Amino acid sequence: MTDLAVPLKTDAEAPDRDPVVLAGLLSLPTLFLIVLCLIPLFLLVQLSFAHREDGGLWRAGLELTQYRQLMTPQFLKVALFSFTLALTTAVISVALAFPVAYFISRMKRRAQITWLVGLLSTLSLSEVLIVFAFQVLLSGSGGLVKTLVALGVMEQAHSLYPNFAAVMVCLVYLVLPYIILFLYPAMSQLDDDIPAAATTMGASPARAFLTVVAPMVKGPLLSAGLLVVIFTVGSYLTPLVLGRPQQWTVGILISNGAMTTGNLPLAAAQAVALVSLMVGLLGLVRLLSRAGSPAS
Amino acid sequence: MGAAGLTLAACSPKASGGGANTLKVSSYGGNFEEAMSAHVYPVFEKATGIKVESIAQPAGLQFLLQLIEANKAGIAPMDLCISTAVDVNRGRKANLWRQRDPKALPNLGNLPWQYVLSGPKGIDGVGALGWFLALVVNPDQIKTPIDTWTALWEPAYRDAWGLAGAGAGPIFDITAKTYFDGPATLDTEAGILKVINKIAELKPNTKLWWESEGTMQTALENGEVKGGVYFADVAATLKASGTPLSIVFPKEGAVMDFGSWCQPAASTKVAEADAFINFMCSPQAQNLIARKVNAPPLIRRELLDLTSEEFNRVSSEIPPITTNYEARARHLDFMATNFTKMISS
Repeated sequence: MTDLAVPLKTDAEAPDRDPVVLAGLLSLPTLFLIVLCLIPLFLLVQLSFAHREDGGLWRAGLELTQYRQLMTPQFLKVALFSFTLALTTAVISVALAFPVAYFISRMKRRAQITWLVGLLSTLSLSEVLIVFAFQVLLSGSGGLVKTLVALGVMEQAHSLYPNFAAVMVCLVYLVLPYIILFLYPAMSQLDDDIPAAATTMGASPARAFLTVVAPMVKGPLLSAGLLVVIFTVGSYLTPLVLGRPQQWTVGILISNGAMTTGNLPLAAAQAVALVSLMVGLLGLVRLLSRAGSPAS
Repeated sequence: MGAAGLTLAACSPKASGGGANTLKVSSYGGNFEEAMSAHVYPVFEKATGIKVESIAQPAGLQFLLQLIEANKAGIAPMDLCISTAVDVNRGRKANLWRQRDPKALPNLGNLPWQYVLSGPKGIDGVGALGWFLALVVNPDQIKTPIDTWTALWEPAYRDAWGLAGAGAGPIFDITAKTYFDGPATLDTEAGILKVINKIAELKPNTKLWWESEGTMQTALENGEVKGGVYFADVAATLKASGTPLSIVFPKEGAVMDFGSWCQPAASTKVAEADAFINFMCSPQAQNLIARKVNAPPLIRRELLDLTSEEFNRVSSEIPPITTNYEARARHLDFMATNFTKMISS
C-alpha cells in the first residue's frame, strides 16, 4: 500500500542515519507491534485449531474442524456479502469524498480550516452513538420520516430501516470524514496549472477534472478505497442495528459465535479467514497497481 | 484471556480474602443487585453474622471466560456468583466450580429438582431466582387482546415483532411447546430442525432479530416493533417508566429461566457459602425475593406465604415453559448454526 500512498511531491531523500540510533528508535514500535499485534494474532490462530466442546467451551487441540465449517455455502455467502458491502461503501464514499476534498483544498485558507475542523470534530462521535442516532433518525416516528410525509414524498409514515440502504448510508457517513481528510493532502498538492493548461487547450472544466485531475490522483483514490474496505469489511454494529439478518456480516457471525454460543474456535477461524481474505485482496491490488504503473 | 482474568481480579483487590466472616457475592448488576443488597442480604447478615459484600456482575459469556481465567490463576474475584444453567455447564467442563455437600444445605429440598444443577462430581449450582420471558405487546399498536404464542405467527402481524436473533433463544422452547411435543422435541436433531422450520414461518412477522437486550428496549420504546418476546421484569420497568406495554403470560405458559448460585473453586469460603445458599433456599429469603426483588421465587409454592396477588405480580399460576438446557448442552452449535442459516437466508 505504501507505493500507493506516496505523496505527489516528495522531499529530498533523508540523509543516512546512524544505524544504532535507528535501531533504538525502531525498537519500541517493534516491541509494541510484537506484543500488541503479533502475539494476539498468534493466539487467535492457535484458538482456531482448538477442539470445540458442544454446549461447553473448548479445549486445546490441533484440528481443522472449524475451517471445514467455513467451506459451507452459508459462511461463503456471508463473507461475499461482507466484501460486497465494503467495496460498495468504498466506491460510494470515495466518489463523494473526492470532489469534496478537491473543492475544500481550493478554498481560502480560513474556509479550509473551518471545513477540516468540522470534519475532525465528527470523528469524536463514537460509532455506537452514530448508529443509534441513525436508528432514531430513520425510525417511523423520527423527524426525517415526518418531514417526508409532510412533503408528500412518503404516503404513510413507516420506518426506513432495517434494510441494505440504511446500512449503506450509515457506513458511508461513518467513513466519509476519514476519506476526505485522507484525500485532502493529495488534493492540496495538485498543481493547478495542469488542469488550467488542459482548459487552455480546449477541455471543459468537467472534462479537465475527469481526464486530467482524476488520473493524477488515481493512487490516493485507490488507497482511500482500500482504507474504506479495511474499515468496513469487519463492520459489526451498523449491519446489526440497521440491517436484517440477510445483511449480516462476518463480524456479526463472529460475535454470535464468540459471545452467544461460546464457539470461540469457530469464531477465531472466521476471523482468520476474514484477515486472510483481506490480506489477499491487498496483495491483489498491489500486484494490479504495479502492473498498471510500471514507473512506480 | 490471561490478561482479562487479571483485569477482573484487579477490580476486586481483596479477592477471596476480605476477612474471616465476610462473603463476596456477585449478582446481575442494576435493579437486581441493588434490591438484593438492600433487602435480602441484610436479613442473612443478621441471621448468621456473616457480612455480605455485594458486587455487580455483567451478564454474558465474557464474564464467565474472565472468571475461568482468574480461577485458573488461583484468584476468586468473588465467593459466589449467579450463573445461567448453560454457563454452569460451561464452567463445569472447565473445572470452574466447587461442588457442594448436600448435607450442609438442609433447605435444598425446598427447591424442585430441576433447580439443583449437578455434574458427574456432584452439585455445583443451586437455583437462586427465576425470570420470565413473556409476550410483550404495545397496546397502542395492537388493540386485539392476545393470550397465546400462536399470535406471533398470525399473518395480521407482519413486521411486528422483535425476537432474539442469536444463539438458541427462548423461541425454540416456545415453538416446541406451542406446536410440537413440548421442549423435549429439542432432544433430537430432527426435532430441532422441525422447530426451526416452524420458526422460519415467523420471518415475515419479525422486524427485529435482536442480539442485545438494549436494541430491543430501544425498539419497544420508540414503537419500532409492536411487541415480541422479552424479559418480563425489564418490560415491567419499561412500562413503569411510561412505555406503552402489555406483558402477556400466554396460555401455553411464559418461558422461565433461572440463575444459580455457584462458587468458583478458587474461593475457599465453603462454610460461609453453604450458609448463604441455604438461607437463599429458605421460604424467608424467597418471600423477600418475590416481594422486594420482584423476581419469581424458585422454591415450591406451598412453602411461601405470598398472597395470590403478590405471587401473580412476579409469577403466574399458568405452568411455565421450562427451557430445555439439556438440548443446549448437547446440540447448541447445531441449533445456533441452523437458526442463523434460517434467519439470514
